[in-house]
Amino acid sequence: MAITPRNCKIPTTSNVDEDNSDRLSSFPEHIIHHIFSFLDTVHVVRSSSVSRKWRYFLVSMPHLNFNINTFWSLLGEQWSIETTIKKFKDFVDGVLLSQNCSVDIQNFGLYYLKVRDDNTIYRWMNVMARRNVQQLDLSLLSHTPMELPLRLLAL
Amino acid sequence: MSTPSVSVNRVLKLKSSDGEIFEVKQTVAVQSGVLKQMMEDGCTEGEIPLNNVDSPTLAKIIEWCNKHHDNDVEGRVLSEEREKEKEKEKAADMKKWESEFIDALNRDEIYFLLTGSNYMDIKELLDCAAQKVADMVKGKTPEAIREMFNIQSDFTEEEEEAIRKENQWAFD
Repeated sequence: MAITPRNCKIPTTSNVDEDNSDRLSSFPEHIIHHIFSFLDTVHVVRSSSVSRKWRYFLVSMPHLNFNINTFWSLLGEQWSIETTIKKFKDFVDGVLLSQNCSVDIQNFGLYYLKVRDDNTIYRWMNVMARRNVQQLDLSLLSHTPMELPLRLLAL
Repeated sequence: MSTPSVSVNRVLKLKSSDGEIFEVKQTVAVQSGVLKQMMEDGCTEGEIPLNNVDSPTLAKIIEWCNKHHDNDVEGRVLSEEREKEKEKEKAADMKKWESEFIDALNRDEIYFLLTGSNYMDIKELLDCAAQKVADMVKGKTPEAIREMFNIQSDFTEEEEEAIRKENQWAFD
C-alpha cells in the first residue's frame, strides 16, 4: 500500500479528550477502505448509515465482495432460492448504482448461483469493465458454461 | 528478497515522535517498506525520525517485527529439513500469537497501530489490525457501531428515515 504521510491525519496522544473522540472516521479513506475490504459488502452497506462520512466510504469503496450465502444467512435464512436470488440481485444493483462510477474497482468478488437465462452477471461484468476492475474473483454455480464479455477480456 | 545493503549485525536507530530511541536489527527492519527503501538508498545513518509513531506504538510494532523475523528464520531451516508438518504447526502458532497480540490491545492502541503500520508500510501488520477492526464492525447495527467507535450521527431524522427506506431492499 502506498504511503501518503502528507494525507495522514495522525491522532495526537496528548488529546485529553481521547477516549471520546471519533478517530476511526478521521482515518485516511484508503485505510478505511482497506478495513472494509475484509468484510462482505453487505456489512459495509449496513455500516453506511452510521454517519455521512461512512456513507461516503461506501460510495467510493473500491473493494466489493458479494456472496449470496452470506446474504442469505445474514438475513435470517427465511427465503426460497428464487426470492433470495431476486433480492441478492437487487442488492448488488443497488450498491453499484449508489457508487461513484468514476472510482475504479480494485477487486470484485462474487459468489452466485446462476440459473438458466439469467444474464445479470453479464451486466455486472460490463459495469466492472467500465470501472477498470483490477481483480475478479468469481465463484459461480451454473448449469451452462459461461463466457466472460469481450470487453472485460480486452482490459 | 534481495536487500544487498542489509547486514545481519547492523542496527538502525529509530526515533519515535516523543523522542525515544529504539534499536532494531536491519534484518528485522526490512519488514517496513519505508525502512527497506531507506536502507537501499543508504540513508540510515544516525537516528531515523518517525514523526508519526509514538513510543508505545513503536514498541508494539517492533515486537511484532521481531516475532515475525524469528519465525521466518526458523521456518527456513525447517523447510530445508523438509519438516512440513512442523512448518504447519509454526504457522498455526504464529496465527495464535498474532491474534493474542492484537486482542490484548485496546481500541486506541489499535488505531495507533493502524496509522503506524500504514506510515511505516508494514503490510502484514496493517492487514492484521485492519482485520481486527473489520471484525469489530461485522454484524453490528449502525447504532452499535456508533457507540463502539464514539461516532456522532450527523443525519437529520428525515435523512435517517430515508436511508432506512432506501436500504430496505436489503433488509426487509
